[in-house]
Amino acid sequence: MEEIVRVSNLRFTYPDGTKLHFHGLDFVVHQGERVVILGPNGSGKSTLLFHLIGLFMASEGMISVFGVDPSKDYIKIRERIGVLLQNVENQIIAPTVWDDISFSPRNYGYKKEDVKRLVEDIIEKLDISHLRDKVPHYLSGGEKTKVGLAGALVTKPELLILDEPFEGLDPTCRMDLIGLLNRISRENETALIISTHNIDTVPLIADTVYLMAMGGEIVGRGSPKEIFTQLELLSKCHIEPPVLGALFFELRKYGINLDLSLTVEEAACIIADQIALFEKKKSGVG
Amino acid sequence: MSHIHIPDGVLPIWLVVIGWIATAVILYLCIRRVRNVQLGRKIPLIGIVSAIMIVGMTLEIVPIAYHINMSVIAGIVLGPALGFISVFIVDLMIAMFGHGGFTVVGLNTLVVGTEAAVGFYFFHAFLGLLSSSKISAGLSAALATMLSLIISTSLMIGIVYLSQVNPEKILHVDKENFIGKVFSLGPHRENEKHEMQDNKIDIETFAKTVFFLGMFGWILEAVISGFVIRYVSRVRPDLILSEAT
Amino acid sequence: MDIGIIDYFANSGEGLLHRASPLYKIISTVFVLASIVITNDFIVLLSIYLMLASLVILTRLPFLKIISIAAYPAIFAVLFAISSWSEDWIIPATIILKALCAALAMVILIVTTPYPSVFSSISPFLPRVILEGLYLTYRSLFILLELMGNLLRALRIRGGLSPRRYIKNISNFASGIGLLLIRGFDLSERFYGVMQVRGYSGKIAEEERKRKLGHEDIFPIAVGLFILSVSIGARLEDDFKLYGIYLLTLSIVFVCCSAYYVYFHNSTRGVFWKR
Repeated sequence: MEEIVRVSNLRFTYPDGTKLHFHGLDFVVHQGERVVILGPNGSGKSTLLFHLIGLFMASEGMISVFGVDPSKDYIKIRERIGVLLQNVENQIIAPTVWDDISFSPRNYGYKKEDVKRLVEDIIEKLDISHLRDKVPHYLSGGEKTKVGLAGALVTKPELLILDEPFEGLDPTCRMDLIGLLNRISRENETALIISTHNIDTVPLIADTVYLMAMGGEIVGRGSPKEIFTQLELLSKCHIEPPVLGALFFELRKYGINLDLSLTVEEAACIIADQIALFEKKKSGVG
Repeated sequence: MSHIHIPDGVLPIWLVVIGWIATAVILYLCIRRVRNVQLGRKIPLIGIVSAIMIVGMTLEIVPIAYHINMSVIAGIVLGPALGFISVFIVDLMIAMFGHGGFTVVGLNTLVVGTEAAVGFYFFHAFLGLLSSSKISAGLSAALATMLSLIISTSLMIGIVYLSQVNPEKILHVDKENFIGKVFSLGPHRENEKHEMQDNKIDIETFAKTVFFLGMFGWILEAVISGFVIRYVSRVRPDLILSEAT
Repeated sequence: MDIGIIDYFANSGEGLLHRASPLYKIISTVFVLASIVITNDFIVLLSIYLMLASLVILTRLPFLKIISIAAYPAIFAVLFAISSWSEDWIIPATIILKALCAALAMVILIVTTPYPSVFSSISPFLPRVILEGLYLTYRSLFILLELMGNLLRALRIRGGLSPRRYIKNISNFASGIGLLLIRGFDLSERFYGVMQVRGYSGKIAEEERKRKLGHEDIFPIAVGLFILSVSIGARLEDDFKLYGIYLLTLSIVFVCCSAYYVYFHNSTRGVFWKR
């Protein structure tokens, strides 16, 4: 698959003088890949994302998004990237939902008919037709997130960058959003880059997980299963493994060695199989 | 009230129109001045500062009309050109909910915009004089606010004084045609002697009332502006000491 | 000055005027403002005020709340009225009434029309920087209002606003404003960043779609034209004062009919409150 993002050995200094150095493994994303960045507060997850969308400029290192340095040539690639920031309130600029969703295509110079078609399309897809003429400050948190997401997806981007998208959402909204993101990625081959604290959502949405430690060091890269079996690495990054993962590790202390499973369905299957096996042995002995 | 909003219907049409024209010209000059200074970056800033001014107006320090204005703070933070633009936006918006006249937005903007612009220059002048003092930023802002409000109030009284002048004597308006009759700049009927065009506002009484009532508001606003700028200068000095437009 | 309530009324009201096109409501308001500027007749102004009050009733919004919002300019008008006093109460009363009428006309517009729609309608007359500034001011306002509310709550909870500690209260209050300013600056930087990322090139909101005159638009236009013609007539016609009492009676009848239609008529009673 085509590589669309590569970050290597980046150095950045905040306005207050704090320095950050993205080192260790390179951060790489391929077309259609779903990537999650895990790390504690202050590890630089959001800062990394801001570099990808050209809001920050590194003092050293290499960064490439669709073949260009975003801090210099973001205009060339911005139509291919959709962004959903951590505080979606700061992202909704226009006075009504329709105006906000149509913001990017209108400003990119799309024709009126095309703008209308694109906006109608995404409003339908996200099931927010009833919010079309509403003003943003009367929307609930979940509705604002959907509006922000609609604005990010309206131009059918090849890359979607989301900074803590599950923050502040109730479990139902969270699961809805995960389902939606998976569907978008699958249907449009849209790559996803998501930063999150929410460990339990990672297995549901990630193909690849990057682990970041304090100071910007990228210490791990792999599938969710590969990452969550490395307890020492998780501990170094002050990350607790997912609940199911922790359960399976605890079971090993009792001599029950099962394949690590990170989703409820998988875990249920494995446990059910084990119980069936145990029952069979028991009836065989009996 | 730290300054007076001129209500609708009090001033003659010709003065209202001049107010709009003067404001339009100044706005044009301000927009031209800021065009080269990353206008795109400034627009959100104008929006935020205008919103802060309106939010400040919703906080009544003393019930019924005493509220902070923050026009001088806007001038200090944005500079005279952007400050004037921000004041126009605020006056336009608040006129829509009846806080200040709509037809007199031009004149009100001239008055309040003067506060913002003059406040900026006074602030930097005082800052230069008091630079050695620890409380220089706060004190400079307080003094600048006080002086700016006195000047803007005097300007407003001057505008009201001008409204007493009958321009027909200068302009030789034809009162016989429809437009002349309807938009007459002065009385055209014998029985109008009891109507408003014959009735002059007693400028002396007006000025005394405005200065007396306004003084309390000016002192309050000066004190608050001083504290606000002192706080900002400690936390983000770049916001008030950078090159404003 | 309750901006939140005004905005809420504009966005969620369902009265007759809410359904009218913003452009025609603005035109109607301009007619009313012009008539207030033209006329100096106390009876005519009183009639205009009563007619506007009927429109308030027809919006189906809380009547006293709207009237009180529009009464604010009277405070400033009183100053001018005091200065015009010459043993005749009519002149000062006329000055105050003018301010009240003008404010009420504007408030009726803004409680029945969302701000963004008003901005879109007047966009041909405004330079881009002003228009965009208006949109962003509107958007920022509610974020900052919430922020201010949180700050004041925090000050109260933590003893920053205590009775009889006036200097300390002012200092803490001012620090709150200072914090609001700083947060506002950060917000403006973030807005700018987002606008750049999302491709901003001068179009925050879409232009208001113009539509043909509909039956909902006829009513405000008709009212505006009627008021304007009455004012012009009063100005031109020497004998108009004779008809003043009829005009006043008509406006009182208008108020009564509006009240009956909204509050008592079976087919419309409770319609607003059910929604």
